[in-house]
Amino acid sequence: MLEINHNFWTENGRKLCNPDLACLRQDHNLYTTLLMQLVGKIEYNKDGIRLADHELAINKFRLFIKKAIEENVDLAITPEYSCPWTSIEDFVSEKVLPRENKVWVIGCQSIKCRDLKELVDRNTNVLWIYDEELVMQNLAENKFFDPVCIFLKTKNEKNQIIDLAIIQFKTHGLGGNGFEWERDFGIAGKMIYVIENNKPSTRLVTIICSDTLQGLNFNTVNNEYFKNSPLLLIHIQLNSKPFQSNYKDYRNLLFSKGTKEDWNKEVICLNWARGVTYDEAGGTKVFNEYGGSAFYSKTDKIVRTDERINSNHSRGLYYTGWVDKKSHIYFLNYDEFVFLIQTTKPSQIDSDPSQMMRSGPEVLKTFRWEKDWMETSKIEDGFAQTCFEIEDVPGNLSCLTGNANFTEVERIIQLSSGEIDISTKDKWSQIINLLSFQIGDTEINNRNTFVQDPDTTSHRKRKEKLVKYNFLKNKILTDPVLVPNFFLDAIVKFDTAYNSKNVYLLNLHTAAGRKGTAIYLGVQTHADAKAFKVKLESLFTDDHQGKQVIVWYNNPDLVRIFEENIKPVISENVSKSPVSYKRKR
Amino acid sequence: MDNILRTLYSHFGRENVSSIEKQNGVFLCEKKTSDRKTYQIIFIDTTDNWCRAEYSKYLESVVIDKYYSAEGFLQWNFYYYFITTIELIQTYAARKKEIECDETYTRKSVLTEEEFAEWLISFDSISEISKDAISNDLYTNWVNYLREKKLYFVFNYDKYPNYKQPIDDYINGISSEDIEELRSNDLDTNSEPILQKIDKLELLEFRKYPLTRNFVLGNVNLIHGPNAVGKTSFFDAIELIITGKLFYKAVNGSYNIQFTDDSGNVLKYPARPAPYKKRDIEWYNSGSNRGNELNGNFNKFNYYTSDAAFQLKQDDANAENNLESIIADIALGREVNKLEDRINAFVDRFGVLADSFLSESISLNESLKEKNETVIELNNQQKNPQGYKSALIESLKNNFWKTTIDNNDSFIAKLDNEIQTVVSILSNIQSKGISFDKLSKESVEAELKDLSFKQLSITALRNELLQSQTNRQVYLKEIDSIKNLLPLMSELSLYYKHEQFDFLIGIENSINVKSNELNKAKEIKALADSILSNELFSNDSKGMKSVKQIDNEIKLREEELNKKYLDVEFKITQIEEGIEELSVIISDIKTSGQLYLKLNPDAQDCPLCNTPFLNSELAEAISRTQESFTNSIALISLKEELEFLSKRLNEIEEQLTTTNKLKHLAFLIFVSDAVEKTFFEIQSGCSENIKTLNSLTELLIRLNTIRSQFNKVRIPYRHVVGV
Repeated sequence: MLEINHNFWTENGRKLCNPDLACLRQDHNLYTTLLMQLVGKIEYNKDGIRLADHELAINKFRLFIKKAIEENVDLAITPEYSCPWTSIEDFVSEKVLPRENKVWVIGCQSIKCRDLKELVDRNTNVLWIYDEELVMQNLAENKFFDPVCIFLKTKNEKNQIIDLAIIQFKTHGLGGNGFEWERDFGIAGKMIYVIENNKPSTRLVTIICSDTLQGLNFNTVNNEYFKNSPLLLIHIQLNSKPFQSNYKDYRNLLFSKGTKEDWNKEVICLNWARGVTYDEAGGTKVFNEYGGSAFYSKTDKIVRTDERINSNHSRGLYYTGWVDKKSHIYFLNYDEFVFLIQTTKPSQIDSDPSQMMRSGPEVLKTFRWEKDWMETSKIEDGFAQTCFEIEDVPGNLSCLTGNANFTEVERIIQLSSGEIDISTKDKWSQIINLLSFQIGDTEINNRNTFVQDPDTTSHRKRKEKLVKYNFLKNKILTDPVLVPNFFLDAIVKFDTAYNSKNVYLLNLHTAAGRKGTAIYLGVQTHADAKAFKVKLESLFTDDHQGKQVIVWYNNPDLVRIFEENIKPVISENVSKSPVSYKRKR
Repeated sequence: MDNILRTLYSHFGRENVSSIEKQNGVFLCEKKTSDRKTYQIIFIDTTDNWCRAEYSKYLESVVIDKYYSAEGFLQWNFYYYFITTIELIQTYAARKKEIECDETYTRKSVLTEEEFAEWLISFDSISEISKDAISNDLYTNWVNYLREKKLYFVFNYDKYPNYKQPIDDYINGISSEDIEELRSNDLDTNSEPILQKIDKLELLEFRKYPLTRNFVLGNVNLIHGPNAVGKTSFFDAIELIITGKLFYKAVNGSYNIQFTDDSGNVLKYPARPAPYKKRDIEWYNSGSNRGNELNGNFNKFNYYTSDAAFQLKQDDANAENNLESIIADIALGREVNKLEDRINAFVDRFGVLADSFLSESISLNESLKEKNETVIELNNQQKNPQGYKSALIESLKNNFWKTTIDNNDSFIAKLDNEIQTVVSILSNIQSKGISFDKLSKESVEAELKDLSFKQLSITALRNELLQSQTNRQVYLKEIDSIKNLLPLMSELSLYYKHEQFDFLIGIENSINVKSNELNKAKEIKALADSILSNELFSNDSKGMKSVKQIDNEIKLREEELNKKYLDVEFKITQIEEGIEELSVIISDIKTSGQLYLKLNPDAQDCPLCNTPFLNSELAEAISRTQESFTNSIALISLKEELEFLSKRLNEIEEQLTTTNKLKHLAFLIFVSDAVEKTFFEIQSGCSENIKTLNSLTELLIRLNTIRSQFNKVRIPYRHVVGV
């Protein structure tokens, strides 16, 4: 049974005050976080796990911490198993530690019990807080811990500033997948530390990878200690299957309430980048295909503008709407980067209601490792590669890959392939209603323009849509037999300058400026294709453009539906309100 | 054409007129707002293509590209004008009408150059038709309309006897209570004039009006004009002055607009709109959600899709654009829409009912009419029955009716009978294709007789046939059931021919034997029970006391101890009672002793026996007296004995429980041994025959199935097996 420890400030004769961490204050101010998602070769045995290239690891961490100090971030996080203890000892001995109000959550490589005791004893610059009883019990054993070190500053009873290093041990060692060494030689921790400010604040809790396998439910754990209280949960991992149900169930449970009860809880998941390698008999092997680091937030106020989504996308943060849980998931790019992210706090009750708004994370800078963490704009979402695989002639889909307006690309793919939710009526094109932005409890990514999720079903669906789009653009619209005369020179695009409610329904433009809608449904029954067209036309409001909808489908040959003889009539009002005087009886 | 072009240039501005590619003689004119956004598109076509039968295809080819590239709202602002000669118009008058009634893509007109020039002049203005065009008493018209629809519940005369008054008051400038109240409650608006009938509306700085506008208004006004000339703005201006709400971008944050009522009061757009809140709540049911309401009230009239003139000239089957009803709507306010709905729903609902009543009443009327005619006819004949009769006989004779007709009362009935007979015969004959001429009455009757005989015999034959068919069914069923039995019978005979048939019966017998053995085992068990309760446990075996003996001894000892216990208890009670009595006496002695001591504080001898004592010793002795009695040695020893006995009794009870347990245990051991032995015997006997038992069981099941089959077909089983 895990012990949730929130009284350690005054335990064992300590007389510490709670700190005042900026990221936990319940106000409207944004806080910044620096996340290290690193890659490299790992090695593990009965002595634990570590990065194989020790020197490189030390360098990466030294420069990461330098960045955290330079950018003055409120919260810095590194993943499980990552930081060498040499670096930790260097930081402590050289007093390279967070400023007041800041906190660093550093996932560390394994350390033997005796080594830890010696390290703690010879470094008195900081006050170490850890499960001393557990360490004493295991001193004689040749076993190791997998810890996370949480560094912060607080004050003692004499109002003197004290540097704290809280060491929390992984509580549930892995056994399978070649990780028996952790089960057999690792010492399982028993304690999870809860950090709260000296005033009522959000609670900061860190869990390490498979800690979650114990069926953690933060709504019920420790006699519902976390219920109704704001929580910032950090989940650091080295996980080849971060979306496997046992690893993610705690998030389902955390956000399972239908009411606003759990609206003040957020999760930051930080895994390693994809492509971590290890040596096995027969050579070097890739450990993980997934990144899977993400921000989880539940609020109705999130900023979901095209501008925010696109700007985050270009910096490696990808939005999805977790509709069933009324929540939002922002995935980080799967490759090795350090992300500087600015975000809102889970609880803002101390601020003025007019300023309370959980608008969600926004990436400020992304850094790539080039002997140092260098700011970069070269972030691959994988979309161009997928398009390239589909193009029969190179460049055929350049209209999509060359468009930096990712939301628009999502819309045009969804519309052109007929994959839109017609039940949402004229709001179908809003991000919240766009099917490709929606995600389920499985957390499988359906985005068209972010393709790093290796899930095969989502890959297949995405490719199907792109194939349909490609067929529409490069086969149907270039064949004079298939296209009505007046659309012979038409191309597929949105004209966002065109002032109309229906702008995202009009994906067809002629040189003369005439607009229409072209959709290729693929293999379809006659009845379904006709029904789709009728429903689609009902989405048009305030103009007659709905009379320019052309639908193609295969059954078995290519069929076109377009009623040329339906003409607009001046006395026909297409947006009559049901309570209007103008309605027809 | 040059003339027209010049006119277009001067009216629309050269930069707003262009020719259309591949369409000679067609010009595209655009009207633009001050920020260069097109709000109206006008096609001017100088060709004679409108005379062509296929003009609509031609028109589409000109318009369509522009139409579908125009922004949504513009699609209602397309106009198409064919400019032509008066001669062509006269020749193709029907075509002109057809074009002007065609609603596809644009509004269309066919005009002469002169008409077009006139139209251009009037195009941009809001004009006034007549001050007297429409009756002032629109509300009476409306109320009459409600009455006509029998909707008394919608408009109740009793409830609103003075329904005309508020409207008349309004037109005559008499302020309503609400406005008075508003005025008196709000000091800020004291200087404002009371709202009167608007005579003049002046727009000095308002929206995109480039010039000052002055509208002079009559009692009833028709505002008309093409789209985007300012009809809505006209109403908005009035509303703004009254409500003070800012909902368009105003120059300098305010509007310079005002109206004048017929008393010459000027109402300006208010500098501070706040005081109007209360009135807004009155008008809009909301203090915060207003704007465009006045325009909304005129909405039927004020289509943004087309200009009112165009709508009003159309024949409108729904009467949506009937001028009178529109203005009635306005006069009676927003509720009119709901009222109309209710009227229509009412009419619809009752219309169905009314229709069915109507058709029913029509058919009833018709049958009544028919009956009536018959009655009249009969009445006429009743007046001269004899004449009618003779006329009838005459007519029958003329028609060769060969019968004797008595001229008596049953004449009609007889005649009717005869006619019916004849009709049936005729139809019979007709069906057989027999010619009429060869027939006499006798031959017909003979024929009929023959026919009826034949019918009888056919019926009899049919019945016989039916009977035999039923019988056949019964036989078939029986045959079927017998057939079903055949395979069973053969199987059964096989069973009885089975070489080990005797052996099977032997097994059946052995089962009975085993069953008897089981019963015997039960008997043994019962016997064991009785043995246990008797000798076995009472006999002294191998020099040791039997459980029974121990039990008896303990019981005897218990009884003995109990007796002793009761004795001691009785003694204690007796002693205790004696002590109690004694202590009363001693207490008396003590009290009197104390009294004695009190009276003789210096007494030196016992008051009872006069033994000399020291005074202090005496006092002590007196106080100690009772104590020595209560702690009497006899009593204490008895109590100790009682306690000892009680302990002993408990011990004996425990011993008794133990012997009981022992008894039960011994019994269990014996029974399990005996029963196990018996059952083992039975089991070993049975296992030998288990194999045979199984096959026997199988056979018995089959036998039972066969038996049940026999039961189903109700043939006794013993007949088949010969038992």
